[in-house]
Amino acid sequence: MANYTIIGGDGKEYGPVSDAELRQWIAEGRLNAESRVKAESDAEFRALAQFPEFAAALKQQATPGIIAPPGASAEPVDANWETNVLAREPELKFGECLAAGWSFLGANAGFVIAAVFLAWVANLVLVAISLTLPLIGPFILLCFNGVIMGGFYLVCLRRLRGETVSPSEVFCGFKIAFPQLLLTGLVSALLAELAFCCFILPAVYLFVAWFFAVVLVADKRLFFWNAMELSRKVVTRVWFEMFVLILVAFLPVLIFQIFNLIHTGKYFMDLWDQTGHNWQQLAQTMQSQAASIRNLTVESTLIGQLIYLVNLFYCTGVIIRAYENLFGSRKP
Amino acid sequence: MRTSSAPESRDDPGRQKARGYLATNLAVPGLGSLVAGRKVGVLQMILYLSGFVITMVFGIRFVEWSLAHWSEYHGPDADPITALVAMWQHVRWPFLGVAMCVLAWLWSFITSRSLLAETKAKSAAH
Repeated sequence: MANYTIIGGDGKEYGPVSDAELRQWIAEGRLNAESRVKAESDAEFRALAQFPEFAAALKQQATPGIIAPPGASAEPVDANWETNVLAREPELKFGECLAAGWSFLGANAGFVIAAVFLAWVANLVLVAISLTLPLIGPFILLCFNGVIMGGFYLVCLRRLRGETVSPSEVFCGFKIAFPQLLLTGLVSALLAELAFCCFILPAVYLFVAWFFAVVLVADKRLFFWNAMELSRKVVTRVWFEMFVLILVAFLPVLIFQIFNLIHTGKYFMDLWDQTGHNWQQLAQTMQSQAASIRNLTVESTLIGQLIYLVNLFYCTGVIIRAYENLFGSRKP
Repeated sequence: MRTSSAPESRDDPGRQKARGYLATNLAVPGLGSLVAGRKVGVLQMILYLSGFVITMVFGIRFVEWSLAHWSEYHGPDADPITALVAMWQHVRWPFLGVAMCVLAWLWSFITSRSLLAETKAKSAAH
């Protein structure tokens, strides 16, 4: 029986695997005609379509009703999938996830740059709306952030699984699961904010625990609450590892936020000292300096967004690899 | 430590959905009822959003007024009764807003409870 080596969407080589396993992966949508494969006798990798022995399997995959529609999950979701994920021991490979940040970017540089940029621009528009429209703006940001990020992570996941996806599909969240993604983003953010009022720590727990909720909705088409619960139950068992992984993956953003907090705090403490620790004078000074305070806010938001953009190029690979570790099938 | 819910609750999608609506109503009163197909959710949401806007708008005005009149009502010669009367004139609207939010939240909570009871009765009947 022939053995094959494949190149995954993360650019890594997997195998050797038997032709039966390869057929299974084709049936599951994990490989497609353009996936790079090498037989034991081959010197170089070729497109899977060039292997006549898999033509039938690829043809079957392409049959309407079997292949997933554009923007849909490549992972087949059976009725017991949720139970199986909960039953198994979650395994978060810390080093592999951190390395995947670079390897995914290196193997799919053009795709990642374009997809990240599109998602970032959409996010920037939402942030601008939240800054300009009082009361309604932040609500709009909460509503649409989950939809955009859900679509973004889904196309990156499909790329990691070796599927052919275009960066323009990052907005597929609006087509595939708009109400559920909207509810996931909105409910998880608002409940975490409510939890923030209870001495911050519950909010930190929930932020980490619900981290994969939007990805689960986009990838598995789960009802939003099921996705939030599944994410919480699985992540809770590796909560500390996940917390550290998020800290490391988003380190530049985190450092900037701490710096910004100190800088803003210092600005207001200086004002407080200048006004002789008098609330009335402080309010008057703040009113007179409203324009400069606004400029300061816009400036720090823009710098924060630029750092977030650069950070996103790396951390996307980390997040989707961590998701595959926890919720993906235990195969390459 | 228990890390997952009981198997029967996991197997009952109606119950899980009802819990989702409850969580949504907790975050945005009325939205969960609306998503669950209860038209009363519109009224709950209107009540909540109106209360929220009133709280924010008049709350900010109250803070501005308090800062502007701080010394007037907190000085050694200030009359506490006059201060309280003046404060009530400005604080009653934010209070009304908060009361509307709480009412919408309680109303949507009752709807969520009835949704949960309905799914429980349905699953018991099956």
